[in-house]
Amino acid sequence: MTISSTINLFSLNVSSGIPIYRQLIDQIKQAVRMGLLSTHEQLPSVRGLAKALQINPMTISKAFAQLEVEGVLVRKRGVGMLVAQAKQDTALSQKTEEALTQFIQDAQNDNLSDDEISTLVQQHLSLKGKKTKENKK
Amino acid sequence: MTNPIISIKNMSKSYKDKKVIDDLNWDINKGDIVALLGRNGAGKSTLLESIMNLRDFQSGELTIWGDKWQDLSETKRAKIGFVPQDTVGFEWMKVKQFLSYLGSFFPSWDKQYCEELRSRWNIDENQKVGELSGGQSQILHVIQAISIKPELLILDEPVAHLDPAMRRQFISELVDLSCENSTTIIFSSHIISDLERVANKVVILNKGKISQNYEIDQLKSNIVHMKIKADKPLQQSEYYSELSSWHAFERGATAKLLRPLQQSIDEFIQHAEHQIEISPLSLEDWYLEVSNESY
Repeated sequence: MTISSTINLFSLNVSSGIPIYRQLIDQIKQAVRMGLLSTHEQLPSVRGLAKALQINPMTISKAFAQLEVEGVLVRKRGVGMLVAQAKQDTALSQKTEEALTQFIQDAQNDNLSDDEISTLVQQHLSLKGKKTKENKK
Repeated sequence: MTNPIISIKNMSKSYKDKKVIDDLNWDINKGDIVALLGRNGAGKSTLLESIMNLRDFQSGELTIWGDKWQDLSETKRAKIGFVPQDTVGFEWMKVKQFLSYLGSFFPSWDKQYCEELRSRWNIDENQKVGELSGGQSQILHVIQAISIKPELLILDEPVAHLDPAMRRQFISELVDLSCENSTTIIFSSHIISDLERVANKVVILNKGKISQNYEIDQLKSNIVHMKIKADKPLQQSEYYSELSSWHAFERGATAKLLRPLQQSIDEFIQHAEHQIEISPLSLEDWYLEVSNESY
C-alpha cells in the first residue's frame, strides 16, 4: 500500500494522554479488523511512514514491533511489514457480536449516551478485576 | 548498552554566588530526540551552551563521543550543529552569502540540501540577514545547522518565534533528519504541543538540576487523573502518598499521578481499598503541574 493512501488510515491526536505508538497500534488493528488492510498487504517503511505522519521513526518501529509480537503483522526479510493472516480469536464470535449489539441497543433505549455506555463497560471491567482478585484471596 | 553520545557527570556552574548548574548528571544516547523543558532561569541555555563549549563550568566532566572538547577531532566537531537562542550577527550579509560563508567551515556541508531547505522555507537568497523576520532569521540558522548533516544537533528554543504552521514544518525537518541520519537532537522549548510528535524523551531542568527524565511513551502511559470513590471525604493516606494535587470531595477524592509508580496503574487500582477511575493526563498538564510544584 502506498504511503499516501496509508496515512489516511490514521488520525493521531498527539497531545492526548495516549502514547502515539499506542494510537498507531490501535488504529492499525482497527484497519485490519475492518478489512481496510488485507492479509499479506505490505505496510510502508518506518522511515516513509515517519516522514508522512511527521512523527519520530522510533515511535513507528515500536508500534510495528508490538504488532509483530501480537501477531497482527509479520516481518518479511528485505520486504518489510506485512499484514498477518487474521487469527480466529481476534474476530468476535457471532454470540458476542449479537450480545454486544443487543446490549448497546438496550443501553440506548435507557437513554445512555455513547460516553456513558463506554464508561459503564469500563466500570464493569474494573469491578471484574476486583472480584477476580477477591476470589483469589 | 551502547555508550552515550553526550555524558555529563557532576557538572556545576555558578555566576557569582548563584548556582546555575548544580551537580548535574545526564547521558544522551544515539538517536535520541530530547525535549529539554524548564521555567525561565532554570539554566537551559547555560546548560546547552556549556555542552557546546561556549561557556566554562567550574566542576564536573563533559564528554561527547567519549572525548572531552579539547580532545575532540575537527571532523567530529564539524558533525555538531548548534542554533543559539539569540541569533545575532551577519546582518549586513545577503542570505546566500551567509549560507555559503558558514558552509565553508564544514566538510560535510550539503549545498544542494541547503538550497532545497532555503526554497522550501521561502527565504529569499538576496535578502539581507538583518531584514528577515524573527521567525525567518531563526529558520535561517536552523537551515545552516542542519545543512551540515549533523550527527548531533543542539537547538536552544528553536520554535520560539515560529507560527504554528512553521512549527509543524520545522518538526518535519527534524523527523527527516532523524530518518536519514539518525541524528541525535536536543532542543529546549516552552511549547509542549508538537514536541510530542518528534521527541522520544522529555527532560525537565529545575534550579540547575534535572528533576524529571522520562521516555515520553512510558511517561504518558503512567500519568493519569484519578477519581476515587468513597462514602466520606477521603484524606490522603499512605497508600496514596505518591499522588499529587489531592482534593477531597464529599464522597471521595480526586488526585493526579505525575510520576510512574513501581507497579503498573492497573495493579495500583486493583490493590486500592477504593474504587478508582482514571482518565489520561496530557503532557502539557503534566508539565504545568510538575513545574509548579517544584518552582
